Amino acid sequence: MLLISVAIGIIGSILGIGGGIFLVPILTLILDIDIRIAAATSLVAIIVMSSTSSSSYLHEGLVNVKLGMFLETFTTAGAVIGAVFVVILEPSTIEIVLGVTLVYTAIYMQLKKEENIIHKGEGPLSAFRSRFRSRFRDPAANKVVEYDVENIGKGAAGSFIAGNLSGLVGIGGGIIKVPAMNIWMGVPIKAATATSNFMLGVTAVASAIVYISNGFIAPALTAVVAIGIFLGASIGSRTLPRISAGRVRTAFAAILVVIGILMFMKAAGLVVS
Amino acid sequence: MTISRKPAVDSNIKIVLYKILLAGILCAIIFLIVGLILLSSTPGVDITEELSLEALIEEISSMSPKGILGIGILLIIATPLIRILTTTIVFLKERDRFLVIISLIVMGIITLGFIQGSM
Repeated sequence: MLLISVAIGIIGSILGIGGGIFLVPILTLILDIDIRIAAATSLVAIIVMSSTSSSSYLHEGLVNVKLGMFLETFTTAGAVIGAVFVVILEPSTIEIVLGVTLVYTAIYMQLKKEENIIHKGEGPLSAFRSRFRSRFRDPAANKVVEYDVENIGKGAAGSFIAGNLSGLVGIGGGIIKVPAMNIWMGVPIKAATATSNFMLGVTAVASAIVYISNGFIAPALTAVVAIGIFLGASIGSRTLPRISAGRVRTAFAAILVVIGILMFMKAAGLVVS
Repeated sequence: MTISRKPAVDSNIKIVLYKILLAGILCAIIFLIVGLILLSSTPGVDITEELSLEALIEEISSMSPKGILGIGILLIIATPLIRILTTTIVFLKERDRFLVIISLIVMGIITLGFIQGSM
């Protein structure tokens, strides 16, 4: 379990996803434990992932703190307001729609190059938008990347949906937030995964408190998983700056396809989680 | 408000948050490792054993191995909360009213979720 957690920590910290989608089924299948215990363990693990990797990314200057805090509002609101979509659609329908969206996003991410996405606004920006301007040094490309955030409203809506879906179909926000930031908002992929990681902890903390106060915590199991994630995220967050942006995007597209297929399987009733 | 001042303030907050997150998570991991070592010396341990909140508080107050694990887990949860609190204070000092409101909303939502969930 420790080794599995290390692996999830590495992948999650590089790609800006919490890893709950992998951790919960693994915990329930391997250890045969209650799904609520698995969920609580996974939530604590996500917070560890977020704190460990984003502290490193903050140091590297990769996290867009203001953008993260702004989008965080919509993710947490989406999560708390709860299943808006469940009223309109069946969960299996949502899973199919999400599966198609994820696979489509993966293809789109491969077709559209990073250089064509990032823009630095010319001329004066509004005070609102200039707040989100950010820059970081990319050691892999050996240059300083400076960018302006675009389509802020669209990104906020995406974050709300990400938060809203997280409780519903068992995915965390990262898988939606990272492409939304990258493709819609013009945030470079490394800054997007780092900022997503920065946000994850806050989104997970509210639910984690609820689980723990209801007594769904197995301290020893949580400790083993947390230590594994800490080690993995420490390795992953030191690796990300050195990988090229193109590689990160390819890896992210691959994980989108994997989760997309997982969604189809869930809709067909082949996977229960 | 001049734009040229912005990047300096931004990197300042990044360093503050970096230190908070790192300190929080390192302390938590130390507690978890110590707790696990102590727990492994007690015979017949089931690592998937769950604890109610009352039992957890009791274990913490008696500083048993499980209690030490409990402190570690609580530190993990406290870290992002302290992070939000700090950013609110920094933005308050920076007089960025928009981001102060944003931070307060996030804190409000978390509290709301907590109240809603514990009912």
